[in-house]
Amino acid sequence: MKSKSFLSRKVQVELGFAILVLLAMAAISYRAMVASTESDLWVRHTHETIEKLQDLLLEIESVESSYRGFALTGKESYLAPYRGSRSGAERDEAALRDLTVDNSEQQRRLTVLDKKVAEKIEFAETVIRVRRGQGFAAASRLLDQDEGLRLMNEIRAVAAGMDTEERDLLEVRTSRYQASARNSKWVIRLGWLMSLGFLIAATMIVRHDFTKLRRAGDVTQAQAELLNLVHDAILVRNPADEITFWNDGAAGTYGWAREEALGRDPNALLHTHFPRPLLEIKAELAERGVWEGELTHVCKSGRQIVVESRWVLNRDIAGRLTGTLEINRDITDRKGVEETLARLAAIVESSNDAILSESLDGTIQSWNQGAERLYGYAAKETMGQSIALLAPLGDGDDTRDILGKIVRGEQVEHYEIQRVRKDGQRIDVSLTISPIKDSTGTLVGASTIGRDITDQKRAEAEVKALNGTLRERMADLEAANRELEAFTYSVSHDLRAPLRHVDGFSKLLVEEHQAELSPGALEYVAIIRDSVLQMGMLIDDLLNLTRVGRTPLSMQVTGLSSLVEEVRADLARANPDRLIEWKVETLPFVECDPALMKQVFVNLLSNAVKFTRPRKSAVIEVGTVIQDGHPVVFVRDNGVGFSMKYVNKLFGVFQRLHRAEDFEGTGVGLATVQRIIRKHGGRVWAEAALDKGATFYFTLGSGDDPQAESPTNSGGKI
Amino acid sequence: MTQKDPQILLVEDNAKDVTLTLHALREENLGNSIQVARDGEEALDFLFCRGEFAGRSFDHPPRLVLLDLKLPKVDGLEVLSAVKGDPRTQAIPVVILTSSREESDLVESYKLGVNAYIQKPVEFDSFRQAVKQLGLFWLVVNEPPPSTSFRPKEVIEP
Repeated sequence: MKSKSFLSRKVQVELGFAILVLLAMAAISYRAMVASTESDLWVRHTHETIEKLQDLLLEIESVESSYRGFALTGKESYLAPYRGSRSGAERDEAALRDLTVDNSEQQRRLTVLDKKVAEKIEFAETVIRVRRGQGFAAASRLLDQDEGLRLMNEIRAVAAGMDTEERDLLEVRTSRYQASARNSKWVIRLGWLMSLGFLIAATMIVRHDFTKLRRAGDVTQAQAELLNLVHDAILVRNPADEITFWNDGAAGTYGWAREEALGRDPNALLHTHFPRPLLEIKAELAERGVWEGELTHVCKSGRQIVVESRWVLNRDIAGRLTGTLEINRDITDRKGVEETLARLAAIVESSNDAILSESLDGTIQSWNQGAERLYGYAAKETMGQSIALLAPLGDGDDTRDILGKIVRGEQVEHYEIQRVRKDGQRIDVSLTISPIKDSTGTLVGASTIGRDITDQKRAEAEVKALNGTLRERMADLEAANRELEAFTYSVSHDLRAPLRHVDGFSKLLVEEHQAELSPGALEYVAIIRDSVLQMGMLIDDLLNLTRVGRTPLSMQVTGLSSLVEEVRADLARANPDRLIEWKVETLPFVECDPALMKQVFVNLLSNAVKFTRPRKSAVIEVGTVIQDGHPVVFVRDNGVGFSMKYVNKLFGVFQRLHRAEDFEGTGVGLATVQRIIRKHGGRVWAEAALDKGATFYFTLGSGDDPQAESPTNSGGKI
Repeated sequence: MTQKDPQILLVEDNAKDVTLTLHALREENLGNSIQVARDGEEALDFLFCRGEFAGRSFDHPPRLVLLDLKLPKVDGLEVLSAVKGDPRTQAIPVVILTSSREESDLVESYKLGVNAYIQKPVEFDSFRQAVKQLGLFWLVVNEPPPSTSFRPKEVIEP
């Protein structure tokens, strides 16, 4: 923020100035200190030179006394200190030469001094040599010449000059040192004063800024209260990504109370889903100070919301990063609407139906891909064109008519109309037309959804034609059925009556006129009556056969055993003189038409009885076997059987495999059996051998009949 | 009058069947009180005491009606329906004696309240046997309803 960078710059300038001044002060005091130290060195140096000079004089005086002593006494013991002092003097001379190297006057004096000292030592050596060679007297003479004393005085004089020079120097240097020390003291005092000044200034500045900060804090508090009035979710997180501020809007938006949210990482708390990697967002935030984008958050309730998020970096007065201000606006609903609109647009565009809109004057205003496919025109070819473009010549009034209805606010549904494609082909379309109103409710146009029903119309026409044919056929069939019914009725009624009369009057003829008839006539009458009975049976059998075809099955769960027992009992009664061994197994309960099923057993068992007539002991078995996983009912006899050569004729109407003289019959019974079994969806077949009996098998319903598996089917299928 | 009231009404259009039926009934001495109607209309006139039979009284109904189904003018089922639909005649026993063994005829007859249904056997012996048994049963064995039951309800109830 501007105020913060301003403060920062000001502080920087102030600090820089203080540092510069203090650095200058330090430099000055350092220089003063160096100068003072140098002055001090020179004072010490001068003291040292004076000391050395005195040392040298002492050594030379020691040399003087030593050689004199030897000269007087001749004792070698005096020579030892002589030699020590001589080399000491030489050392002192060298030291003095080093100490006074900076002073040419002193060096010159030192050269003179050296020369005198050398003369002195030479004199001393001469004295020593004389004493040794010539004895005391000669030596004494030398000594008395006062050469030694003269040299000594000259040395003292030079040394005194040097000493004076050094003491003058000492005076000068001491005063210079004192001046520089005084300077240093002043510089240090000044520096201390300035530091104090800076300290005071800094304290004042800091106090000033603290006041400002405190004021800023008050403002922040007021702002926070204001922020609580905002519906948007506003939160502040510190650099460690911990929430430090959480307004009422945030609590309302996310369901997390302030005390729950504070200290939490918002991205963890709200399961934030970022549009881009967080690192990139943070980089942009650091660079620009602000970031805006859409985030997905999960509320406490688990509801997922989309927010428009704005992040702003927060800095304190010193410009330090204190956190990030995040303002989130819930735009889930808006997103929902946007998504719905986008989805609707996609649906319209991707629809297979032709969807277009037109203004009230019939100008095409939108045209989807479905319209492009259906009518063959691209959108750019039709936009702005009249809808009449699609109307076949002379059918323009239809479109007017539709628009008229739309203007009256009516919706037109499944309006079937012919349209012309771009390639000129006529197509049948079904139109659903709805009014389009603007936001004020004013009718501005119509939307039309069109579907190609050409194939549908063709199919409808075909179905209609087929239905017509079917109806004709049905009528034919019904007529045929009525004819058949009338025929069977007249057969059962009208044909039987004459037969009954023939038989009745034949019988009365025999009864009432027996005496007048010859035995031959009576035999003829008997033949007539036999033929009548034969014909009666034939008619009954034929009626049974046709009845199977005409009447619908009346299915019931039926125990086959009881049916067989009824039939067996009837047959046993009808044939009291026959010896028949019946072997009847327990048979299953099945779903069948009981009346027709009884007919099956009547026909099969009476056949068995009939064809075992030549057997003294007839055996007739009824039971079930399993074939191909399905139960099969069989009826077996040990009768005359038949040749399998003729098995294909066995179930044909009027087909007989035996001569009528041997076994009476009409040739209809097995045909009836087959018809009944087939009507039940089953199959009947026979195995036999000539004179070795016959076995008839049948099933009811195919094995794959779904009802066979049905748990509601209490009776099994055979 | 009572002596002359016929006990059996035979409704049969076929003269040969009439002959054979009467022959069978006479053998059981039931042939004397038989009224023969040759079509449905004549049968209804007799039963409802109208037209040719206007002089008859509902108080003396026949004890048995033998009714063929296939009849000229008014067929047997219509006659049955009229008899069983009228309180004055509904107690009269009606037995269908017909060549038809059509299931629809059987069902319809019983729905209308027929008392018995017999298919005429082709074989004369069986036919004669059936007719004789019918006559004996209904005229000798069976107890007829009291004649008051034939009066119209409004007459019975005060």
